[in-house]
Amino acid sequence: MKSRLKDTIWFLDLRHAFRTPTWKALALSMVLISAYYLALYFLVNHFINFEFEIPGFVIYSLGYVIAILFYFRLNNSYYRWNDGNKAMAQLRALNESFVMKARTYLGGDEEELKFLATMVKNHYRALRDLVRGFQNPKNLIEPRPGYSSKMEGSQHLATRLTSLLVQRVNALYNDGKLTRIQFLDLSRIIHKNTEIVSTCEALQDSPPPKTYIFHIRGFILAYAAMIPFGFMGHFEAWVLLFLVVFFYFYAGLEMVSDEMEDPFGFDENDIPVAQLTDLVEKRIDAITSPYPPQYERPKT
Amino acid sequence: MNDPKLKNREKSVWFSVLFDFHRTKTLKRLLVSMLLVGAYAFVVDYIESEMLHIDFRPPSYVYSMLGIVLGILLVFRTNTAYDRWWEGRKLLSKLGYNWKNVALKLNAFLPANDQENRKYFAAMIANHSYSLKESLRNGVKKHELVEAEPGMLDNLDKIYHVPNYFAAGICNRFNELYKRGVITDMQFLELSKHIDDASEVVSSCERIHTSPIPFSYAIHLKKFLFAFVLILPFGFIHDLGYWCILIVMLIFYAMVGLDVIGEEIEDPFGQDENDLPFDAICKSLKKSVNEILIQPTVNEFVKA
Repeated sequence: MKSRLKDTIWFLDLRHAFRTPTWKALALSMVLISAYYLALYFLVNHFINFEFEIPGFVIYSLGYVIAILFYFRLNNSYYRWNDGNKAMAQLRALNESFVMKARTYLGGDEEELKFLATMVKNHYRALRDLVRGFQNPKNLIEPRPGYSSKMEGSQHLATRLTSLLVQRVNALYNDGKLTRIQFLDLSRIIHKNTEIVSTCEALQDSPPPKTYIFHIRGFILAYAAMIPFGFMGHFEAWVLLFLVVFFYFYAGLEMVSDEMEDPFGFDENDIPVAQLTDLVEKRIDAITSPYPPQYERPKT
Repeated sequence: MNDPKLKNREKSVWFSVLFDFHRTKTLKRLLVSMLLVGAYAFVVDYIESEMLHIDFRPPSYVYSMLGIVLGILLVFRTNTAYDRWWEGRKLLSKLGYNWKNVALKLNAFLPANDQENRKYFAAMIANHSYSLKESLRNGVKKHELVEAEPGMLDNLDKIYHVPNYFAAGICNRFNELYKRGVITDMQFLELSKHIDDASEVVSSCERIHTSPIPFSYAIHLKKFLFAFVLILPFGFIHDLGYWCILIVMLIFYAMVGLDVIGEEIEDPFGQDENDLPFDAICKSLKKSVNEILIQPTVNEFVKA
C-alpha cells in the first residue's frame, strides 16, 4: 500500500527529505528562532560583551533530560498510531469473517447476503468518516431505496448501522433462516465491532494532556534560547548555523510525535483509512461473489 | 518441532563477526554510501590541510548534544522494528495453534473412519497457511497447495484473496457438517470461533506487511543522521589527519547500520536471512495437523 523507504543506496532515501509536513509546520518557528539568534549574534559581537558563559555540563545535563522526554513522547505517539492501525485491521478481519459466515449460513440467499455485506461495508465507511471527525449519510451505499432516509439526523452513524445490523440478524433468527448457534456466532462478531469503534473514537477525541505537550515545547524553547550562552567565548558564524539546524532537529522531533499521535487524517503519516476502506470493500465483494463452480459442493 | 530449519540459532564464536560481517545485507546497502562518506571526508581533509588551514574546531559538546538525541532515536527505531518482527512471529504462532486446536477438536468430533473429511480439513488448513505465506509475498505457489477437492485449484489466479478462499471453504464445511448432524450445535460453535481468529491473523500480518513506520519519523531520523555525518570530519581532522576518513566511515557504518537494520526487520515476512522462518512453520503445521487428523493411532486410547 505504501512504499517503504528502501533504496539500494542509503543516501538516495534522502531525496524525500523535504516532502514531509514537518518542514512546513516548523517554518515560522524556524524564522523566529533564527531572528533571535541573529540578534544575539550582533549584540554579542558588536555591542555588549557578555562576561559569562554557561558551563558545558549544564547544557549536557539538560540535553539528557530532553532526550529522555523525547523518547517517551515518541513512544507514546507511536503506540497511539499503532493502536489505530491495529484497530482498523482488526475491524477488517471481523468484517471479513462476518460476511464469510453469513454467506455460508444463509446458504444461497443472495439478496439477504448482499444486504448484510452492504451494511458491513457501510459500517466501515461510517467509521472512516467518524475517525476523520465528521459524518455524512451520503457517503454510504444504498442497498435498498429509502434506506438513507433512515440515516438522516443520526447522532452517531456507526452505532445506527450496528443497531440495524443487530436487528437484521435478529430478524433472520426469528424467521428461522439462522439457527440458534449460527445466530450466537454472528452476534458475537457484531459486539466486537462496537468495541473497536470506541477504541478509534478514544484515539480521535482524546489527544494527550495539553500541559504535557506544552511543557515539552516550553522546555525545548528554553533550551534553544539558552544554548547560545554556552558559546559566548567564540560566537562565530558557524555557531549560528549549528543552532538553527539543531533547533530544527529538536523541534522537528516533537512535531513528528505530534503528527503520529493522531493517526487518522489525510497526510502521509496517517493510516490510509480511505485505501483500507476500498480494500475491505474489494475483499467483501470477493467473498460474496460466487467461487469457481467446481468448488461449490453438491448439496446433500 | 523436528524441523531442522527452525533451529537456526548457531552457537558461534563471538569473534566470528570479524570474518562474517561482509556477508550481511546491511553492508551491501551501505557500501556505496560509506564510500561516498569516505570521499567527503577526504575532500574536507584535503581542502583544509593543503589549501585553507582554517583550523576550525567545533567544541566536543556539539557532537555529544546531537549524539544523545540521535542515540535515543536509533534505539527507538530498532526497538519498534523489532517489536513488529516479534509481533509477526507471535502472529505466526497464533496461526499455528489456532489451526492445531481446530484439528484437535475435529479429531475428537469426527467419526474415526471419516477419512474424507479428515483429509479435507488437513489439506485445507495447510493450504490456508501456505497461501497466507505467499499472499504476503505477493503471489501464490500452486505446487505447495493440496487439492482438497477436485478442481479446487484450477481457477486460483482468478481469486482475489486466496487465504480467504480457503478459510471460506473450511467455514462452509463446518456448516455442512452441522447441518447434516455430524457434529452438534455446540461443537459447531466451538469450531466456528476459530475462523474469526484465522481472519484476524491474516489481517494483522497484512497490517505489518503494508504499513511501515510513519514516513516523517523515518525521514527525520535519516536527515538527522545525514547532518551528523556531515559535521563529523571537522571533529577529527586536526588531530588525526587522513586517518579521520577511516573513523568517519566506521562511525557512519555503526550508526546508519542501525537505521538499515530497522528497515530490514520491520517487515518480517520476506525470504531473506533476517525474516521469519515462515516456510518451516507452515511445513511443521502441516505435519502436525496431518498427524492429528489422519494417523489413526491417536484415537486408540479414547475408545469407550
